[in-house]
Amino acid sequence: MASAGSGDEKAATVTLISSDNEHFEVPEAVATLSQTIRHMIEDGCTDGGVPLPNVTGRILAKVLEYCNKHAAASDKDELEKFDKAFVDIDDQATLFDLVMAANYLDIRGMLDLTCQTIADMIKGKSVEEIRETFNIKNDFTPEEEAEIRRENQWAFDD
Amino acid sequence: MEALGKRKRGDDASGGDAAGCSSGGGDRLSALPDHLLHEVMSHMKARQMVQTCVLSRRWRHLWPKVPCLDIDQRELNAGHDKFDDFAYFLLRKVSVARLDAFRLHVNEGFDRGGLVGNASAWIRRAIMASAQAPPAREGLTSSGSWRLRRLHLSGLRLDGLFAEHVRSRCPSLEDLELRVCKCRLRAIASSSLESLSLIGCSWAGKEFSEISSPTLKNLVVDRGSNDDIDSPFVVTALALASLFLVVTPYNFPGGVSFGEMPSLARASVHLKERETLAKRAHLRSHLFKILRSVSNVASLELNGFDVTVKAGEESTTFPEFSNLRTLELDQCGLGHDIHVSGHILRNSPNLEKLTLTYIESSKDTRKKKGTSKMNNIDQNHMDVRCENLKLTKIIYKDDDVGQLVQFLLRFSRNLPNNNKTNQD
Repeated sequence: MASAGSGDEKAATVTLISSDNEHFEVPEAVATLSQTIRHMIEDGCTDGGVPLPNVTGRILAKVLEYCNKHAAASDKDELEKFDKAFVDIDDQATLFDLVMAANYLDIRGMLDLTCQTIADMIKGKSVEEIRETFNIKNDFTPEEEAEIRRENQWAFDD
Repeated sequence: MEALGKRKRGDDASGGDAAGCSSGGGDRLSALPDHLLHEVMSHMKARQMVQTCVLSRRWRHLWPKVPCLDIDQRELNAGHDKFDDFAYFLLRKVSVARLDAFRLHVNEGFDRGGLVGNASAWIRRAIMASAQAPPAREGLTSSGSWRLRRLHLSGLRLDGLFAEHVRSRCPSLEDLELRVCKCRLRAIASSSLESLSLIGCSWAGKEFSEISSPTLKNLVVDRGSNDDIDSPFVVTALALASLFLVVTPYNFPGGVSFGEMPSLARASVHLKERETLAKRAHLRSHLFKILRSVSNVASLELNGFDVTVKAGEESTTFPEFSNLRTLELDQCGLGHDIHVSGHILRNSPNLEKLTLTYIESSKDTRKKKGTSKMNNIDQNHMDVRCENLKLTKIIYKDDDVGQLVQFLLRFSRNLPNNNKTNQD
């Protein structure tokens, strides 16, 4: 659980407002995992809530799940288990939404985690398999592709 | 933040075609901005990263600007020539000096110079090229400086050129890891380094002596070997907070000397080849000196520290572990008071959490000797002062129960939370 601030007063919170107008009241200790929000709190512009036009409520909820866990837990094994489950997502759209949110909110740990997940999806696949996994359209002509492979022969199998 | 069109709204279970992580029709990956694709590439190994150039036009010229490079001979799974060629062409396209993080793993035995692989040469030449840049004018960073924050090298030969480069032309270097490297250099010094790991490195020639960094917070020295049996290994790291040592009879033959470490909060010392270590008097004294150096930590883990303290060694050896709150003893003998572990327990008045792991193989005859010694111990030595002990966790294996119960009884009035796990 996020720890309350020292003393008797209630721990400071900040309200985050998603693009679809969902409000989330979050302890500052949790919200400041986002450097973006941390700077806003430091600059004192969080009165009335922080609008986040680039993040939907659904994704923001997931982001806060991550932040809550990482602000509270300190056991490395526990966090590793959590992270693994966090990115065990069935649909790519959510994964990419999380990458974008981690970038926009500047949450280093979450950005590393999601980008590592994408890299793991690419690992070991052939070029064609990668295209298939991510729906990448090959817009090279056969001649162009052959030329690129030739130029970079040192990186491709003979 | 630019809006990147195409984001699917509202469908939690997007109409996926493929099993597993489905993409639902769009190419969200290519739609990411360049810097995020570079982030993804930073988690990929070099060859696969280069191969992205052929995915589509969007990807063609992306990879050379990647901020993190991971060259790993194991990824190529190929012979010397192919790896040599690969690194040669790659390093012509990506300048190591402009990277944020660089990892180079060369298989052990690959880099022997000459006709066989010569990966160390690539690093030397990259360093020399930087050294040739004009020297810094006052107040400005030299154009020959490397921006590197993280550098991990494995399997290379490193010398004074490398050490000098780290000392004077890597002003942002925070994390340095050298694994299985053959080093012929005098010292590792840096004014920015926060984390240093030396794993399995050998120090040739009677030269290497010092690690010096005022910013260093974490230090790992794991095995390795050192030719110099005369001089101690000196560590000058005032800000050190965490120390991890794996000591063998070969890596600190001249001992190790730590300067003041007022911030040291956590230390882990593992012993390998304990029998050899314990037999040689000067090595034993090195071990006790290490313990003295870490006596102000709050958290200590000892592994394989099954070492007895001989008569006469006691008073000069064991200070108070007055800040020690958490102690983990793994394979350290059963806390006989003549064992190091017993001494530490007696000198840790503020200990709150104790974890004992003791899994002894039944083939070990030493254990039987230990049993009889237990019965003969003078009861006066049983006084252990851990009054604040809140939590004890004991992980043991079958037939040690008898000894454990005896050991526990010495603390019994102080053990409120007992957790015993039998591990088969």
